[in-house]
Amino acid sequence: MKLAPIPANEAARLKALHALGILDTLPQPMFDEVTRLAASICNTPIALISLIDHDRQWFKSRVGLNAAQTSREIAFCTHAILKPTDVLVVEDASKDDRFFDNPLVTGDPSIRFYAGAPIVTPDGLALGTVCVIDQVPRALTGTQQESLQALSRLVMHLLQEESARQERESANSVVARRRLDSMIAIASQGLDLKAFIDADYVWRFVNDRYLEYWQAKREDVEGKRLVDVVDEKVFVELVKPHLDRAFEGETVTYEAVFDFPKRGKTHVEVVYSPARDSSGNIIGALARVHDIQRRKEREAQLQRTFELLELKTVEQERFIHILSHDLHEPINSIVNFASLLEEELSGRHAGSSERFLLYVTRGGRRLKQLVEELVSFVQLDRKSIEAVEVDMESLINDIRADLDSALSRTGGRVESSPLSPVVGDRTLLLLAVENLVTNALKFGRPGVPPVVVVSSTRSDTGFVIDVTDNGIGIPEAQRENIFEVFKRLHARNEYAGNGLGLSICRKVADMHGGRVVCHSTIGAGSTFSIHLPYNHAADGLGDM
Amino acid sequence: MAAIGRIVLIDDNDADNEFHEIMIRKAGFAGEVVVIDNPLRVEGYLSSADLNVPTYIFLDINMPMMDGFQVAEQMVPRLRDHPAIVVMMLSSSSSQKDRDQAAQIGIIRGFITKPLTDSMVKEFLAGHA
Repeated sequence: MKLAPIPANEAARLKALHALGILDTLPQPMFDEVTRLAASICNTPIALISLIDHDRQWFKSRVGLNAAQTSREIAFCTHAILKPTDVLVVEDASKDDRFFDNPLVTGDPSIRFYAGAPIVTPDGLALGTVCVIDQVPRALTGTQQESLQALSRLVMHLLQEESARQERESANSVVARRRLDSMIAIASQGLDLKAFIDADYVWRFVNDRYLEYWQAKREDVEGKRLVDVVDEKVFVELVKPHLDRAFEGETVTYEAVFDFPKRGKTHVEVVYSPARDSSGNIIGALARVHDIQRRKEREAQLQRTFELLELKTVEQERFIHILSHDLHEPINSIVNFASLLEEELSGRHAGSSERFLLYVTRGGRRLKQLVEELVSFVQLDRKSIEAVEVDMESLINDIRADLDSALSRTGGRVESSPLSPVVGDRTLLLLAVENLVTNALKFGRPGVPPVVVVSSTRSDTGFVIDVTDNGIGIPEAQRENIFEVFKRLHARNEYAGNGLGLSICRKVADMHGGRVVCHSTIGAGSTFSIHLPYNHAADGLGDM
Repeated sequence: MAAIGRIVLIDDNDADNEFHEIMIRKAGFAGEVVVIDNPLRVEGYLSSADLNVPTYIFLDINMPMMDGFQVAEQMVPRLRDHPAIVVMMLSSSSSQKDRDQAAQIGIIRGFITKPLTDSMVKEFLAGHA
């Protein structure tokens, strides 16, 4: 037996063959069609698609032969592939010095006739043959040989197609595998309980968290029907109605209290969202259960704090009421009747009684003023800004009217220049400016009638209201302190007052997002400036 | 408006009532001054009073059993068609909340802070209020 030499391009040939991934694959009808066609064209009992591996020939398809492969040494095809462009025809193998002692000739299947057309890659590598075999000697017509060659070209195409298809499939499966892995990772991880429930109310997937909360094993949940596991009442009244809405395409959220083993009753937020297949049909629902127990506890705590605050507010309200009503009444009685007594006693030279009564009257008036200021100070906290355009001229007229008696008592006057409108809360601004004017009248220099000048201007950043007096001035070291509650700089018998006026001013400025500043020269007077920024005071009134 | 013939003080505080009456007399008012120190007696008084006499009613807010607003509400049906009767709130509080509430009740014509002084009374009598 004459062995066929190994082709010169054997390494490349084997590489190309193996790259096709066709060896040892299952039979495929399209290849079997080819062999049947070959057998029929050549009128032979046997037809094969033979591929030459490094030590064997393997048949992708075979007609009339049982063996799936043979050793390479005895393969006729190893000879055929030596000339890739030619059909090898052996008319009588028993008379051919290459094959006469070949076991395939001397024994089963007793080959006499062989014709093989090499299967050649576009690079010219012969991978095997499409061959026909008979047990009697014979010949092939030229047409038959050409047909055989055509069939081997067809096989080459089929092999390439098949290989490309396999490549696509395996690439797809790698992508699909990765996708699945990431999806499982996403679904498994996280602090929430997650489950996929199909349209028959069966758990198809639950994550570890889910099992942990329910203290369950995976096999006790996945594949089980909810109705068999969940409490029936809970399933019918709570779970099913919500799931049904998710199956209709709606994302459903509800809160519930679940009694988890070990954890006990726990507030949860449950979301069911419809799950769809690639064509958009709803195939179930994704359940996400979020533990909101701690949030609920914090909410309850917040609610308690809020109620406590409300109670405090009510108490504060009551306190203001006591201040404004209940304290006023006795104070009024003292002030009213002391003044009546004063009248009765005047001109009677009652001596010390008259002086004592004066102390009562003064004390009563101061008490009354203090209560009024305290009330307005506390009430400031409860007031919200109502920004309007304030006509400063009318505001100053109101102040003049309010302070009528103080003005006539001190011989002072309130002047205005220049006055541009200001945007702010009129009631609050009246309170602030009136306090500044009252202070200015109060702290006049002895023997000098107080003159208070009020001006309002606009700057780049906001409105400025200046209240300037010709009074005693404020020492620099004390200018910081003057805005604090109940801070008095003077002995009571020197200047009346209780120290709330400037605190009220500062609070009013604060409420407008602004500030009060003070400039002063000892012995010449002080200027208090209320700055009101546009952004706060002029919301919605920006172009005024 | 015809001359005021009657002034009614509705207030549970005797001291205030006495002081206000002194102020009213001091202002030169010679007509009838009625003092009602129990809000529950207002209704009874009005049912028997001549409501065509030009009258000022000064009504305190802070009273036991019925506050001034409740008294005012109660008076509404009786006084609605008697413009000769003028109701003023007279309170020791000047709180905005009370003023707002007073403004909600139609028959209340004004809101003044205690004490009522002789000069204020003179203005009312002169019809300036």
